[in-house]
Formats: sequence, C-alpha cells, structure tokens
Amino acid sequence: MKGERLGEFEEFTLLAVRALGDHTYAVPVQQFVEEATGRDVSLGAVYAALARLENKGFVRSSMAAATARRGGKSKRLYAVTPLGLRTARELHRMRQEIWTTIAEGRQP
Amino acid sequence: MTHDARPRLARLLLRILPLGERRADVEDDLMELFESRRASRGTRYARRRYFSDVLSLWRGRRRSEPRLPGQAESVRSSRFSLTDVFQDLTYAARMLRRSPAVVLITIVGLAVAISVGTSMFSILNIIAFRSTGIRDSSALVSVMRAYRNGAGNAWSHSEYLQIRDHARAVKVEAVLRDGASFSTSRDGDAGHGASLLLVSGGYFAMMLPRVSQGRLLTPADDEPGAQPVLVLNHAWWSRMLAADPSIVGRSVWLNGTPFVVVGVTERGFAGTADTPPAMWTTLANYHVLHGGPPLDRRSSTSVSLVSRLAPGVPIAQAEAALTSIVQSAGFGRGELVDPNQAVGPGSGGEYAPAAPEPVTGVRLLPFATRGGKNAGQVALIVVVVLTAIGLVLVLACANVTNLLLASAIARRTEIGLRIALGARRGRIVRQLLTESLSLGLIAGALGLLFTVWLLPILAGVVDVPDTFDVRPDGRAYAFLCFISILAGLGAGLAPSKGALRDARWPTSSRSSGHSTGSKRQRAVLVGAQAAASMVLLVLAVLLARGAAHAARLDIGFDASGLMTISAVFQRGTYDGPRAQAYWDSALERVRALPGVQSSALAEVPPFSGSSRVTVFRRARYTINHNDTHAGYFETLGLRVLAGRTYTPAEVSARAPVAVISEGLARDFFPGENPVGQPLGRILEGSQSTIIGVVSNAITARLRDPRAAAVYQPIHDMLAARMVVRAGGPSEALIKSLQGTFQSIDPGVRVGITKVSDGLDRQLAEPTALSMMASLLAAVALALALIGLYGVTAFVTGQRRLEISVRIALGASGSDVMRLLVRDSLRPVLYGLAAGAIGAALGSRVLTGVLYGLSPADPLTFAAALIVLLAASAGAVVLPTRRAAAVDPAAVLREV
Repeated sequence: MKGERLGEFEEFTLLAVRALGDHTYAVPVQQFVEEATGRDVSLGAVYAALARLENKGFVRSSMAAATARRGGKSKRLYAVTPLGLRTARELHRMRQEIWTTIAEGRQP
Repeated sequence: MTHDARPRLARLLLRILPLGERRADVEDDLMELFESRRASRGTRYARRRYFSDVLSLWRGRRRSEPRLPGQAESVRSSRFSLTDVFQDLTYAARMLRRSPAVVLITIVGLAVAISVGTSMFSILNIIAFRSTGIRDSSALVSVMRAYRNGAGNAWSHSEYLQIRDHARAVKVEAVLRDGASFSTSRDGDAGHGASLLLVSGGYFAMMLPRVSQGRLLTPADDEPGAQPVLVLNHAWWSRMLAADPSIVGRSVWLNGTPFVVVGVTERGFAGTADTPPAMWTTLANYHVLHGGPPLDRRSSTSVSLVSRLAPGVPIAQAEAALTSIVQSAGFGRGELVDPNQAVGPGSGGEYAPAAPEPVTGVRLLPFATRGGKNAGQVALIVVVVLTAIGLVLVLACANVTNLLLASAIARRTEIGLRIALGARRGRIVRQLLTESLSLGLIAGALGLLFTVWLLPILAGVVDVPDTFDVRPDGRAYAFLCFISILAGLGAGLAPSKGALRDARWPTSSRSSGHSTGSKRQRAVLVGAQAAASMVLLVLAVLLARGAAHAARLDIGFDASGLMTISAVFQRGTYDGPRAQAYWDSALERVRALPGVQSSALAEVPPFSGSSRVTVFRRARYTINHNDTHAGYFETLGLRVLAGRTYTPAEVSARAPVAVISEGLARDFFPGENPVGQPLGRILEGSQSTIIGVVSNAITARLRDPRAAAVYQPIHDMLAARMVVRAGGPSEALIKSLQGTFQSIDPGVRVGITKVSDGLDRQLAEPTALSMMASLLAAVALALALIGLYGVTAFVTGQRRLEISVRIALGASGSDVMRLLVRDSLRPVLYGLAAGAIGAALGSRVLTGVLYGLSPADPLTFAAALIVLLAASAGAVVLPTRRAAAVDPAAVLREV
C-alpha cells in the first residue's frame, strides 16, 4: 500500500500536520484545513484522511503522554514521515512544472 | 452544564457508534472543537457543526469503511453492524419507492388495521384493564362488613370513626358512598357540572399517587373548620380547564361556597371509584355541600372503607384485628348491598340501621379483584375483542405478505444475482425482513396518527365519561409498537423464504410466477383472509343482532311512561314517621294528577342505578331485593302467578311476608308450590313467609336473565322512592309533579327521572359493542377484498400467456372466465368454510352479551356467507374480465 498517490484532501491534511510542526492531533489539523481552504471540514473526514495517510505510510502516529490541556488524558499524535514529505514535495514540484508550462504557453 | 449544549440526538448517535478503544479520544476531540467553535462563533453554530461531525463519523464508516485511526479490526468484522442496517434501510427505501402505488395501499391498509387495533385496545384498556393509578394496588383492600349470608361495603360514618380510632396495625380510610354532581363556576365564568367525591384526609396518602400540580389532600384538610379545598382529576382538568396550571390556588364555587384548588392528581389516577370523579375533597366539607351539621361520631352517613395491608401482614391477620373491633363495638345490621356496587350518584344515601342482624365480622376483599361483578363478562369481552383485533391484523399481514410475495417473485432475478455474487442467504433474508419491517413501522407511525384521531371518536361512541383519560397511554403505545413490528415481521417471513427458494440465475429471462410453492402460499393466504373475514363478519352481525335483541328484550314490564321520583330529606329535620307523612301526602296528590294511572313506593325502582342484592358466591347466583308498597306490582304491571301479593295493611304492619319472582320460584322450589314456604329456605335466617309469586321483571341489569327477586313490605320511608305510571306525555307531567312536590315541602330536593332513560343507558353497552365489532368487520372486509383483488389481478396477469394460448386454440371468453373465476374462488370457498366452523366454535363465548340470541344463529351465518361470497366474486370477476379480454395475437407475438 505504500508509495501511493495523494488525494487532494489527503494532501491538505498532510501539509497541515507538517505546518503544525508535527506531533499534532486531529483537532488542530481540522481547524487548520478549515481555515486554509475556507470550507467546512468534518472531523470524520480528518480522521479518515489521517487513517489513509497512515496506511500509505505518509504519516505515523503515536500515543502521547497525558497533557494538561486535555484534562490529563493521553491522545494520538501525528507526524509526517520522510516518505510523506517526499511525496508532498514531489506533488508540489509537478504542479509547479505544469503551471510553468501553462504560464509559458499563454505568453504571446 | 456545557454538556447539555451539545445536540441530544448527536450525543446519542455518538454513544451508539462503535468506536472501541478510541472512544475517549474521539469524544475529547469533538468536545474540544465544540467548545472552541462555541467561543468563536456561538452555540448554534457549534451545535450544527457538532452534529455534522458526528454524522461524518457515521458516514465515514458507511462509505468505504475506512478504519478510524487505531480502530480495532474486530469492530468492523462484527456480523451485525449498524452500518449494514443503514445499508439495508437505504436499499429498502429504494425498493419501496419503485412501486409507490402498491406500497401506499399496503401501508394505508396496515395503518388502518394497526390503528383500529390500537384504538380497540385503548378503549378496552380504559374499560377493562383500566389502571386505577394506585401504587401497588395489590395491597389495597375493600373493608367489608360480613353477615351470616352476605357482605356489604356500607358503613356509617360513626362506625368508620370507631374502627379508625381502634385499629392500631391497620390503617382505614373512608370514601363517601354518595358521589354527587355539582355545578361549578370558576371565578365568575360559566360553570361546568362536575362530579365530586368526598374522602377522608389520609385517602391520598394510602393511594400514593404522584401529583402533577400543587399538592394532594392531607389529614389536616379533614380537620373540622379547615379551609375547604379540592384536588382535581387530571383528565377533567385537561379536558374542561385546558390543563391551566394557574388553577392551583384559585377557587371553585360549589353550592355557593368557594373551594380552593390545591392540586391536580397525576395523569391516569382514578382512585377507588368505578367512575373517577372530576374532583376530590375531604369528608370535613360534607355539611358545606349537603347541609346539616358537620359529620361527627353520631353521623350515620354511609361510607365505604378501604385499607392498605402493611408489607408482610397476611390478610387474615388484618381481618382478625378489624373483626375484634367490630365485634366488641357490636355493630348492627345495615343495608345489604352488592359489594361491587358502583360508588356513584344515587347509590348510597343514608345508612339505615334496621332489623337486628348482627355483623359477624370484617372481610377484606383485595381491591384488585373487586371487578368481580363483571369479571367474567369483561374477560370474555377482552377475549373477543383481542381475537377480533388479531384477525384484522392477520388480514392486514396477509395483504402485505401478498404484496411482498408478488414482489419477491418479481425480484427472483435480483436475488439470484446477489447470491451469485456471494451474498450470504442470511444477509438477503435480513434485507427482505428490513423491507417488510420498514413497511410495518411506517404503517405504525401512520396508524398512530389515525389512532389519535380515531380514539376520541370511538370513546364518544362507547360513551366513556369525561373523567376518564382517553388519550393512548404507555400501554397503548407499547401495543401499537408491538403489533407494527409483528405485522412487519409476520408479513416478511414467508415471502423471504419463498424468494430464497425461487432465486434464479439472471440468465433465465422470463419469470412465470407459477412455482407450485408460491401458488400454494397464495392460496393459503387468500383462504386465511376469507376465513378471518368470515369470523369477524359473523361476530359483528351476531353482536349487532344481539344489540337489536336486547332492545326488544322482554323486561317483564312496560318501561315507557314509568317515572321514578326520589327525595333527599334534610338531615335532622326528617325522621321515619315524618317521611311517612311526606310520602303519604305525596301519593295522595300525585294520584290526583291528570295522566297518572298508578303510583307506589319502592326502595329500588327499576333501572335506577342502585340495587340491593344477595350474592351466593359459590353458585354465582344473585337475588335482587326490593321493599315495596302493595301497589308496586300493579304499577309495574307484574302478573300474580300464584298466591297473592301483600295488602296495604300488611305493609303498614310490616308483616313478615314476601313475594318472589317466577324465576326464583323455579330455581329454589322446582316442582313444588312456593306459596306458604318459609323465605328462610332461600335466605338463611329470614323469618318471612312466601305468600305469592309474580312474573319476572328485569329491573337492574339486562344481562341477568334470571331476574330472581324477593319483594317485601317497605318499612324504611327515608330510603323510599316513588314509582309513577303515567298515561300521557311525560314532559307535562314532570312539570306538574315538580310543582306538586314543591308544594308539599320546598326544603326537600326532588329528582324525577324516566325509567326508560335508565333502560337506554343499559342498552348503550350492547350498541357500543356491536358498533366496535362492525367497524372491525368493515375494515376486515375491505382488507380482504383488496387482498383478493390484488392476488387475482396478479395471478391472472401471470397467466396471460396461458389465457392467450387457450383463446388461440378456440376457447371462448366465457370458458376462460369460468376457469379463472373457479381457480380464484376455490381457496375463498375453503376459507369461508373454515371461517364458518371457527365462528361457530368461537361465538359460543359471546352467549353472555347476546341477550338470549343463540350464538349459532343460522340467519347470521347465512347473511355473512352471502355477503362474503358476493363481495369476493366481485373482487375476482373484475380483474378476471380484464385478463380474459386479452388480445391473444398481441400476447403471443411478445413471446
């Protein structure tokens, strides 16, 4: 299953995890994606995306020790794997290349 | 409090979502999001988003079943998951949407059946199983005074006080036997008539009901000089006062005295009275309402006593304790009354100490079994009605089954495909059951709407008093739910079995719908429908004819033109001799009125709602007692069959003579002459001699055909009432009677009623019963005909090819018609025969409510048979004619 491609929402989720400085959890990811895309994002979708990303090996999760913020309960934290980062960067590079072509093609 | 802000439904959905070990984490995430959204965008937004988040978790499971992070594998592989249910439901909705007309008819049919069933059940619930609202009523007992040959529940108020004061271990509370209706006017508004029951202060504490508004009556309210207060019946409060909560603390005027409403009972509380009153107040207010001095140790006002057994105290021990009190006090004999007599208007009155027959002790009768009077009858009606409901449901189920059978045949290809693709059989059965169950539940919801609408109408038909709560209660809802599920499952099982057996490969293209299995199934269903219709129709016709029979029943005298006049004497101002003088004067003046043919005094006028009986429990034999004037027999029009009736002189002298009815004479003196025999042979301890036999007269209950009666000279003038036979129109006479009585003593309240009104009230019961049965039968007939029509149309549609071939080979249209009609009607005929046998066996239980009509009445059976045959022939012929009119060439070209 590893090394698959990224869907759009998965990409957002992956980038959010990275942007939040890794070792983040579902709630900040949801808030980040919602803010960045400007559309309502359900928690279920974020869970599903994180699960798929983990399946594909793009993120990894670990149970964190208790923190004060959540009333001393432990929670699952996510971090982007090197593979995930590479895939995202690759996707970005491909996009940019395409955009360059479009930009050049438009020039008279 | 923050938890309450989240949508309740979402919380529920979250709770049933199988999250496994991730639950805490997910819930924390949801909560955190909720709080942060609430802080930034407000509660409404947060709630909406919370809801959609929870739904997204469900959706996430459904669509591609992505595993929630860390979700245990076992959750997903569970054999029966909610996800599958969602899937089944979606699919069911899609299938049902495909044939809306058929589904609509089925759902409406089922809904009508369910709602009629539920309404019947509710009425039954009110009439028969009516809960009294009393907590733990099994420990509640009626306190009866026992004699040598009977028992009664009338005690005087002074006896009540003696028992209450001496009983240490057993608590006893009193209820005034004479309920009365008063005109109320609330804060100057127009008044309502309302029935009132007076109870002792501890009554409510003994019944232990909860209160819906304010508080209940307490012993403090029963102290002399306490402020007059009322507690309202919840049903009456809802209906007459629109459940206005501000009534608590306001005053209701009764007899010109303001009573402060202190509370409203909880819904469904009826108390110990057979007909719940509109309001309760304490015995301390007796004199306020009825005049005279307050009740005290000397009062002879008649009350019933109830008691609650302390936990662990056997009934015999409590009986012994009370008996010792009664025996040491040496209570005398009171009136002998039917222990089950209704506490209602006109039933009690003044308690009359008379002949020295000592009370032998106290009997405690469990309150729960108090329905003894009619227990047998009620149980019977319950059985009949439940059977009828069951039959209607069977019909409705049969219809749904037919529909599903037909669609199952049409879906064999689909099911075959699913099996070929690897669906487990259980999975497919579940799918089919889900479909029929959703049909049942949709019909149940619709049925609920019908019921809410139908129930008040039915309650009106059956004449349920307005102090009863007729809205469906929890039990009725449970019943509705139960039969909806039953209808759904019952209807779905057979077709799903058939569908699996007949599943076929998608490659074989045409379906014939002619496998012997489904053909037999359809025939059985049609037969069952016919049988059920037959039973119900026979039942309805029998009951209708029974009601008509009751209306024509020979009660032994002519009720039209008979009037009863009762007088309520002011306590203290009237005694026996003065009452005697009053009645003497009244009789003289009444006889002088134009239109009056004769008049006489009697203690128990016909159909007056009261009775005085001796019940021989073991033999279930009831003897009606009546003390009368010599002229009573002539006034009623009873014939003297043997001996003579007593003379006025014997009445004045209170001679120990008795006249018995023909029925009683036959039962107790078979083959011998009762004249000259001692009455003691019938009633142990009696010193009277039988001097004559008169013709039977049914004066109390129409259902009691024996009309066993003992008449003796009247002696208690305070309890006497006058019976008048008038020749002319009664309205004018009532006016002049009122004037006459007014002129004798304006202080005596006089009530004039027509005996025929009382008789009509008795006749209302069989009429109501027959109307219920007719309604059921009409629904059943309609369902059966729809079903028969549907099946015939389906089968003939399936046989189009065969019909075409027959016509092409030279069969005439009428040949084909005859063949098809014969095939379709054969199961109907079998069903009708089976139904007739079933009805013949079952109708025997109705004997008691047929008023002498034979349950095997041939006319009824013939009528039902003819109606059903004609109707089913119509239902078969219509679609058959269409089928026989096919153009064979067109059909054969299609092949």
